[in-house]
Amino acid sequence: MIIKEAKNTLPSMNTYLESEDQILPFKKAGFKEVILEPRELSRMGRLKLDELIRLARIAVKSGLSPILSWDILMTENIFQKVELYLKDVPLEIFSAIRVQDPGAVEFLKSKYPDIPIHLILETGHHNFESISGWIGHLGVQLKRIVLSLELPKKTLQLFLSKIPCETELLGLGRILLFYTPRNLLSPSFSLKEEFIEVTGASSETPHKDFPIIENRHGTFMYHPKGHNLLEHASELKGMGLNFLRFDLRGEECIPLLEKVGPILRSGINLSNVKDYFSQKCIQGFFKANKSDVLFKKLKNHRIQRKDENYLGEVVEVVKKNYVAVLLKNPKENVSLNDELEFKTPEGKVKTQKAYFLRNALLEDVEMGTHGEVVFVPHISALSVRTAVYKKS
Amino acid sequence: MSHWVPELLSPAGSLEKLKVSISYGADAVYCGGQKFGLRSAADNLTYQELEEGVSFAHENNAKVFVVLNSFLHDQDLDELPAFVSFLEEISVDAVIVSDLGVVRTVRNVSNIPIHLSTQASCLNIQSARFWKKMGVQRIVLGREVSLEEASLIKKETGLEVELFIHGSMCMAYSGNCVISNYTSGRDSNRGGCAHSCRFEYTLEGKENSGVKKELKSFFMSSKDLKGISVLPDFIRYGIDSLKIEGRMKSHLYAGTTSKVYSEALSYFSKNGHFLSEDLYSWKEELNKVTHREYHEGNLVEKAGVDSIYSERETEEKEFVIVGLVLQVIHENFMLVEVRSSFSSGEELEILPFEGEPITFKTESLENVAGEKFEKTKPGLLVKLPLFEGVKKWNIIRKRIEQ
Repeated sequence: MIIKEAKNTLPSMNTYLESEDQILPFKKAGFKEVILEPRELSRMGRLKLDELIRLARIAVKSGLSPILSWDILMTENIFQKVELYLKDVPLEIFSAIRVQDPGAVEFLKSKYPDIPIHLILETGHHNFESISGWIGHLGVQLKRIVLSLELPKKTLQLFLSKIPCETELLGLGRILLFYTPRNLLSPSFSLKEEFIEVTGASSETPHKDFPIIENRHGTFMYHPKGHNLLEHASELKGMGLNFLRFDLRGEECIPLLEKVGPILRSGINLSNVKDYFSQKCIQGFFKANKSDVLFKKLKNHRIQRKDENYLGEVVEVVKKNYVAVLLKNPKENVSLNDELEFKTPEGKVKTQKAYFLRNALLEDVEMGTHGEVVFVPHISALSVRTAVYKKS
Repeated sequence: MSHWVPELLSPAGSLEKLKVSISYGADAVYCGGQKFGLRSAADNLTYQELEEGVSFAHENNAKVFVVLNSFLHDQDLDELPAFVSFLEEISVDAVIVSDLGVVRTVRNVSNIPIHLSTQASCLNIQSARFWKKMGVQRIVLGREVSLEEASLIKKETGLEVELFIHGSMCMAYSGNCVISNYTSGRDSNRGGCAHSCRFEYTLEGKENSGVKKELKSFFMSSKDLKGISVLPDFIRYGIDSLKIEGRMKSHLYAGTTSKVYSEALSYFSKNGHFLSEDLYSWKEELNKVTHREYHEGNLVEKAGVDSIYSERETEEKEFVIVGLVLQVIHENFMLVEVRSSFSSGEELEILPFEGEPITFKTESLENVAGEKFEKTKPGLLVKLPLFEGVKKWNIIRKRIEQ
């Protein structure tokens, strides 16, 4: 059967290349570009220098464009070691270098201004002003921007219409949740190999089986479910996305490609690919990102001060006697016979006239000013932390 | 002759805490407005409170830095210019920012100095150079950076550098953790962190990895930072500002940490060394506030196994705040807002702004109406005898019976 290659209706595909035997299946499946991860530079890197160079050369010969991954974050001491390492890497083999640390970006800009940069902006960069800053700073050296998974469709559409260079998004693969340089597993799980992988679950979250990996760069936690935007691939292409990334590093890659290769190459029923992926998948924030709506519930807004006419806060209530108010507004005094409004933490609103006004010695006064505690007539249903306003 | 010491920068989760931190010796405080910061659950400050806070700080020769360190989405940016203009109008001393879009917006609409938040995880010289080009004047370096590296970054870039010296630590590279976003629906980088790293996890080795083991562990939880022992190195390396974490923490925490580090820095300023008999008591004082087990983080060497706080979250504290002095009635009494209960006859300590704690026993407890109490409870205002040196915002604490 001849499978027609998907043309122009879908974004190009790239993926991570870990070994030589993956090259042909990737090629057959229609991948254009492969990301190579040296162990010294890349979070999940396993390739030694000679393997990296050899694999990059084979990729080139096979017609795959090799990209060098340098996605670790680096303190200065590590950065200096990386600088030395880079001297041994024939960077000209690679079509571009893929970086996240602004230090790595700045280093490439100053030392290797001719090497194209694939800039990973997956962390933050949820406003166009920030993306625009990078575009302006790097100019033509910026070949591609890797966009955040947290961007909803509407925002993606807007950004994709404005970004002048290539763009990339994770199409199918693991969602990285957490990255620390500390070694969190090796104290409990000793293993001679360089990668330790376990799963984690907590009774405090309904999610189970978080994949957790420790290696020389630290510890990484992933979402139990993968990220899958394949059913939106053609829509994304229409919005202007250039590359969809397939992260198959946690998979039995070659057997998987035997099954999904024809689908990928044809681009028909692309969403079926997820059925062969080892993780169940979600679309993350693609439809909407409402990750700030719960903030309103994090504190009691009834006791949040509103500036207008604010006087202070109730600090003591003595039944049938008085309510003590700490005056907290330097711009507003309280005077005898002022009408006061009380807003309780439970949401009740009460009013009362200050028909008496006393100081801390319980002497009658005409006025109370900022910083003082004053005592006004008692009113039922009040409690401490009630906000007090002058009724306008 | 006085010796150079760094700025002490303390947390101010509310206007009251701003006053407490400054009164106890902070040279500068950092606080948030109602939006744009990373502590949505903190009280944060309203416009008027910010204005009052800045006035209070400047009257006391202290500075106020306002945090705008969320990773903002496009729609969040709409309201930012007006807020930044307001901050400039009230003479805020700097803003703390992590998002390049926010840096650019602040620069476009104001001349307020910009400090790069630790949330941006600036870790190396080249990264600092990038941020300098973007208009940043100070870098709050990532918690992974050592004192020696921080010094090098300062030297090579000419930027001011700020490092955390005390408080809770993120286990992840700051800004690189989205556990809350995906598991709790709360964006940790916009102020909704659910502290998933403090949970207990059951870890199970993957069968095909050769690791066959199951265990329960708080493997992602970090011990708290306590840098007082390496204070001489902070000075030797010329770190410009020492930051205390904790906008969500109590008045007692803000007051005690500010007082301890401020007294230690003052001592060095006068004497040029830390060979003080007070060193032991400074360290002890820091044990009296709520904390997890302490550690020195990455300040001297890379944080290892012993930096993991492998226990359930508990509040280790020796003392609890029982009251806050709201008003001093000259030669009569102090009016104290009760924050935790205490009984008549119990031994209490007043933490003055300077000097040793004042220990006293409460003879009798009464409110201004003359009602007497055997035991107080939060929500009462009590009159307590006045001691020399006691001032408004002094903290009163008691030892917890273990």
